[in-house]
Amino acid sequence: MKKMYKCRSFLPRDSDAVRELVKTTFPNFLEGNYWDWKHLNNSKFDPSIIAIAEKDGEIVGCSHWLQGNLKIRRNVVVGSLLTCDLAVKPEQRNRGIAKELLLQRRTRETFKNRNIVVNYDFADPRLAKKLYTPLLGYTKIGLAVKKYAKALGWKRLIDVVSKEETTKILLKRFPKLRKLNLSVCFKSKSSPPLTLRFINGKIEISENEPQNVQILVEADLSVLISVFEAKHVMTHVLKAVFERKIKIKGKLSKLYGVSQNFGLLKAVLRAISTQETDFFAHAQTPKYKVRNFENGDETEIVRLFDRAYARYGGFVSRNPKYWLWCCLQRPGVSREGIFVVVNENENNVVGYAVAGKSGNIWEMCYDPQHDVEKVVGMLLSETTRYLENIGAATVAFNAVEDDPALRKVCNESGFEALTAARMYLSILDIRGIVTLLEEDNREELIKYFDESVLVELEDAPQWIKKTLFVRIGRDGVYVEENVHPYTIFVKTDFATFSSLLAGILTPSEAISQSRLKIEPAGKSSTFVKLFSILSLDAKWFFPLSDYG
Amino acid sequence: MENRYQTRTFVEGDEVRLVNLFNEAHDKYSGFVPRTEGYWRWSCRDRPDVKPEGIIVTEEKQSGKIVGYTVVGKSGNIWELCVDAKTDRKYVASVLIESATSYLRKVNADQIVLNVPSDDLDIQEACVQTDFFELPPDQMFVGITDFEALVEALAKSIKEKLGDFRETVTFRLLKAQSWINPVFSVRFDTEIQVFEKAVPSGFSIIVDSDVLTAILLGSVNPFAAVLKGKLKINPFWKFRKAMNLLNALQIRNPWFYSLADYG
Repeated sequence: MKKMYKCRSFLPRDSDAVRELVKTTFPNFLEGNYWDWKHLNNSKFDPSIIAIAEKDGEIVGCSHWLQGNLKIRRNVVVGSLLTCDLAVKPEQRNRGIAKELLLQRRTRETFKNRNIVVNYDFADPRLAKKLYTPLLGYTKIGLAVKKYAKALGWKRLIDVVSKEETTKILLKRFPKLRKLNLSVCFKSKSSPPLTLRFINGKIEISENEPQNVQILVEADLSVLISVFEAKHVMTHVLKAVFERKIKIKGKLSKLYGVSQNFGLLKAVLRAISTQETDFFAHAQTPKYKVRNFENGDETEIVRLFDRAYARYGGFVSRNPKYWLWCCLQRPGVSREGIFVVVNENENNVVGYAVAGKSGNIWEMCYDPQHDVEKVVGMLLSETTRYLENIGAATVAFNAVEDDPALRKVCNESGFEALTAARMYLSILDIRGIVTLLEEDNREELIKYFDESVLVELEDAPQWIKKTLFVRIGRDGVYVEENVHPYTIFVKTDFATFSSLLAGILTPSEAISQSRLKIEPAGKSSTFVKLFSILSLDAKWFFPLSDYG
Repeated sequence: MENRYQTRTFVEGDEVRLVNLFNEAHDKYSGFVPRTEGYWRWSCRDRPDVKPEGIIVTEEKQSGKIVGYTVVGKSGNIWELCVDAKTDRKYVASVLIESATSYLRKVNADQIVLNVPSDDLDIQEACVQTDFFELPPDQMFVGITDFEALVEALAKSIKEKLGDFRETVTFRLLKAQSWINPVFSVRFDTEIQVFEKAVPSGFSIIVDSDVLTAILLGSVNPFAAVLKGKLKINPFWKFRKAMNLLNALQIRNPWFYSLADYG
């Protein structure tokens, strides 16, 4: 249902894909080339505790454990696991994959069989607070560690800034630099000097000793870094000047220019330090080009579809085979009616539309990270022109409700919103759907509930069992149709219960409308919490192609 | 001074002495992987950015005793830096840091980074004198996967400290993750015996599993946990005994890890 991927243990055939995933996710650590050394060729490599997330046969995530020992006190060494190399493909993030990977194989048996007593990680504190601590029970350790650093050169920075393309991007991002005639040198005892010259829209950068610079900034490198990391650069610079942490020599009137340079350097350093390969690509104005469908596009089209509708439910999960069937091979659809928008800078598909001779745009999909108005504008204009040419009387498509940019471009292109066809849903297997929902939320259920719930359904169709029993305890979650001793009894009708599971009706609404009865009444709030979790929380959307 | 020491690069066969030096130098710390030859080869010698020229060893000229070494990666990371306690530590540390710096300049690295124990003033001074600056260290997060095994290991290491503590204690962990055994008992007698279930006991410690983790790992004071209502003792009149036990079990060693322990 919601879960379109599966988690499993590592298999030998996964090596290439996992190596590549780790390399692209962690390019900063040993330039990403370390997976073979760290895992595959490690004498303690244990494939059974490496978790893999797979979607349509493609590896989209992985999480590793390094087995070893950790000294925890003088003469006390215990078995340990270091959690590391947790990677999820960018387009698959925010779907709970990382969480599931971390929980994969995390059982008492796994730890006991390997004599594992502690599990640890070196994590970003924000990630630890959000994920590791609540999910895995981690505690932050008070460390007796001091980290020292020194910059030996600015080669990487100079290489990046010296590129003509980079200069263009930086000037575009900081337009005031075009009018700036300024030279500034940053000097610190922990690094070679760094001189920047902005002359008539050109940027020169070097690590030479300052000569004829207008401004000389002297500070500890840690102070300069704190300035680079500050949200309000100018305020931070002034504060540091008053605290005598930074010395600025030169005309005070040039101070504004200095703060601009900090902003510029901040952006460049951040781009380099995180090696956001997309940074400069994104900073460029995307060049969109529209063309007709070509063989092989279907894989990228399906990925785009998944990305675009990740937060919705109610549609048929796409794979290339299904997409070819429901779009390309559909009667009335030809290649000339399928338009693909490509971002030429990155050479990837950022939007597509499938128009049929009937006037239906069976699918129209766009990457929300891109210029929606432009991409959708191109698609609508091409499809409308195509449909006019082949003599279609009307043009219609289904669009998501909550995208203002899409609404704007539709209005501007002369489209009107009509009432969409209603979708009616009947659950054929209540137990099956509750099982899917509990699997998706099992960790949370086990953590917060210890209850046995018996649901009695009235007016249920003959193929539906009249009772449903859900047991949630430390030992797991069980969903059955047989009756067992219970702590909460719920009596309701089939339609209400289906609406609850589908997320159309909230548990509180159902109670306030007296559409269900809970015994004992004191357990009402537990029921509300429980069925807030056991419901489909996604909005529903379906493109016309899902009509069949 | 200079005449006493000489610096060279790593040669096969140094491993045993380097490993012994590392373990001795870090004896008082927790939170790192104790070195074995195999682990050292993997985490240092065979690391992708480490070349034999990047492993720099300082030894006494006369005796040939290794008094310090450093493992430097071309990425700019000093994966390990270790100096013998019974030598001129500041001088040896300075020599190693200078050698590491000149090696990294030679391989065009842009930076040099290392971790130093916060109470090792000799190495810190060597860093400051060579114009290093301080950065916040990367945080370490630890979770306990097997409480009964940890309590057993800790209890055995402080058996003498426990003195005449003769009691059976049941730990009841609330809000424990599914992989954690929520109830276990420990019998403190001439031997320490652990039961993976509750047995008749002198008192029980009832606590959230994350609070017990923080107590054992030294982040939370057990007394403060009681005052905040996060830890209960049943019967309460055994409070003093429970506090004595938890205080004795608590890990208080300073935690230090070399960059090589990142994996």
